[in-house]
Amino acid sequence: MSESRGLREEAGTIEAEEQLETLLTKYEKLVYTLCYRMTGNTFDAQDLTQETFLSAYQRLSGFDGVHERAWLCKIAVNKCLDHQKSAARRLQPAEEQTFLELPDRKSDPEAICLQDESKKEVLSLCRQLPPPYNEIAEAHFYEEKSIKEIAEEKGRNLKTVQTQVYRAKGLLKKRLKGGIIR
Amino acid sequence: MKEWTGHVTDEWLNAWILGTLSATEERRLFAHTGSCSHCADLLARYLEQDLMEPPSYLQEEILEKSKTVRIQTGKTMYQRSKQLRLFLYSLKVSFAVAVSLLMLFIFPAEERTNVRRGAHFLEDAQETITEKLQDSNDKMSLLLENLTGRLLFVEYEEEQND
Repeated sequence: MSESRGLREEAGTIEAEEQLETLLTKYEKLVYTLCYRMTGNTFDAQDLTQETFLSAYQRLSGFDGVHERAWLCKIAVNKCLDHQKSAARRLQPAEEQTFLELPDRKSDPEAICLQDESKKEVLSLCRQLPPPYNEIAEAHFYEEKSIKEIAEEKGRNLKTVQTQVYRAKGLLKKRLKGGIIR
Repeated sequence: MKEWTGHVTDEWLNAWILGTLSATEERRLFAHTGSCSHCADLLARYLEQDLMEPPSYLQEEILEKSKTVRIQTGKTMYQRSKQLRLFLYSLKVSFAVAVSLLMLFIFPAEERTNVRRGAHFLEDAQETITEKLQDSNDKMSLLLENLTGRLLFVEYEEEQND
């Protein structure tokens, strides 16, 4: 009985993973764009995109399959709102600046321009970090290499590179002052 | 300040993209979008006109993270809580049905008769109360008639004396 239950659960997990992959293929760009537009920086946008899809993955069993796109967008919007509320609390007394500090979109209406500016900013920030985080950050956040690729290239342990990426992201966010571009 | 009609419009989305919304307006826009499927879909269609490219490692990272113990535990807990809620609801319905059946078939005939007697008692009591009210009403009418009569007699006597 427990064996068949275990098999059923495994089958359910595999199905959920396939569903997640499908959602990512269809909506990753959309969710990332939304998160970037709401937060104004790539690091927070990446984290929030990840949180959105993982939250959707956990709730797949309760989703009726109707209005997929709207469902994901609602999760993303709420994640961004929660993030902005906690960022505003951390940055007190600058609470009211949470929305006002978003990048001036009047000068960058095109998404491509926005992205180019963002990439240049990322590179500049990465180079400001102390070693070994500067090279790890540049390889991962600017050159967009995966952690596995960086570990193989530099001949380092995968876990070590993972930790370094995580710490580098924290330092970059601090430099961006809580994820809000000033 | 822009007029809020209850749902997101293209005007609001354009203003948001251009950065001309105030902090309050932006909060209102997203507080609503976070709970309205129609407006969330509108926002999605708007953003799809100009999508950004996420980093190439992001998808792989998300898939890897979905396999971690923390995420899997969260997923299981969500499913369990749904199952638990369904179970509790079924339990409530079953309990109500069981109590009804209990009252119908398990109570002895005598007790059912007592229940019927109780119902008759209530009916009788209702009749007595109605009769009493009618009785009181009749007495009041008689009293008023007497009083009117006396007043008229007093007036007649006064006229006679005049």
